[in-house]
Amino acid sequence: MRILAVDDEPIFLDLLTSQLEELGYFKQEVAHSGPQALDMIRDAAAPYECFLFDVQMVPMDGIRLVRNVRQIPQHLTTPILMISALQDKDSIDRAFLAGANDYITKPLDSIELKIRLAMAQSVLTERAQARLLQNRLVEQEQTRVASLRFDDPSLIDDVDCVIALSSMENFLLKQGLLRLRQCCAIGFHVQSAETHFQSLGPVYYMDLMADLATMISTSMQNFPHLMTYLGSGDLVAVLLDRPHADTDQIRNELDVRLDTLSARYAGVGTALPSVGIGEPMRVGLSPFECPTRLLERARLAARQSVHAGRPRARIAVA
Amino acid sequence: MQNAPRQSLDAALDALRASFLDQLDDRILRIEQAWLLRNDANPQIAQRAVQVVLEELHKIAGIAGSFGFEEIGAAAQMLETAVERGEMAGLDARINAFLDMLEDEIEPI
Repeated sequence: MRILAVDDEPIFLDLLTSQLEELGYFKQEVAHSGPQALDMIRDAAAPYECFLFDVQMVPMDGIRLVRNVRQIPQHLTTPILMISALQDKDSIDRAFLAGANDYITKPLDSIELKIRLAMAQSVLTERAQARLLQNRLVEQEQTRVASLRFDDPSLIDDVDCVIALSSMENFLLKQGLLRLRQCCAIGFHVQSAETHFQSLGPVYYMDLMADLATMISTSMQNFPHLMTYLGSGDLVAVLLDRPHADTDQIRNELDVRLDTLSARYAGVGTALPSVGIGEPMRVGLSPFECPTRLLERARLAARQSVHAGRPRARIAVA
Repeated sequence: MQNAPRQSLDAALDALRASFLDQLDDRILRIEQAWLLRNDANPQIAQRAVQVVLEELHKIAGIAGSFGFEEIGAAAQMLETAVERGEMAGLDARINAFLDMLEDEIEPI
């Protein structure tokens, strides 16, 4: 653990470094003032992993030093231990408010020092493990998306109301026919989706789908709904307890949002595709039809919609 | 700044304790001089003088106990609190007694 100890009393720093070495901490450096410490932090070849700051120092006290260190993005969470005389309780409170994590009292007690540093070390280890796990999850997700084919259904993350196709199918299967009759499904077809898939690649293509899903979902914010991505540029929204929907209203809302999104995409040199909107579909009257067929019918209805070259939402002409 | 090569903690502590005692003369002098200036006609000098006394007391309170001088550390801490709170009654005598205590450590009777 790379430690930086800061105190304006040289003999105390000598004592501290002796005790740190005795405890097995050899990667330690010292500074005699806050400004010197900030210079060393800025110029460090490898970032410090733990700080020990005296509270009462001149010209910059330990609390100001904590505030300065916490403004360095790299050290937002690096353990900071304050070293203070017992009567400095008020200062300790202020140091904690400024972002310090723990404190050690003077006179220095080697057992206390050992315990506090062990705690700092365990925090560092836990954070490193959490980072590793997070990186693995990100890698797995990137691998999953990168290997996606154009016609694969895929979960669009981070968009409210959007669920995986399998979840949507489960949802439909678990609804009674009576309740399903009170719902309708609206399909949305992204025109030239395959061309975008080829030119953008799977990762950016799914980002585009996520943006479009967000716009579609917010265009229907007045209707409780669930939405899923079926692959091949097709999205289907199931409106809950709404057997009918005014697709003109949805189209108008979506047009406004697509115009805004279009300007953003134009800024990075990408043309936004048009989105076709299908007529609302309801479950068939036959009790033998699988409820999940609703999704397929909504998808087909959207594909029959007429597209124009501009990034506008269009309704299928019956 | 790189640290001195590792040595046994006891040897290091002995050396640091000796350094602490060597520095006591200077610390006594600084406190004495600053204490004399605490009533200076120039309020800035008087204020700075009290600040110097507080800084010295704080440092001694922080390190004396670590070198085995717990009594000095505790006395410095009490004096620091008294000066901070402006409890000036009898403070002259207490400061003098404290400086005597430090001198006794330099030249044990």
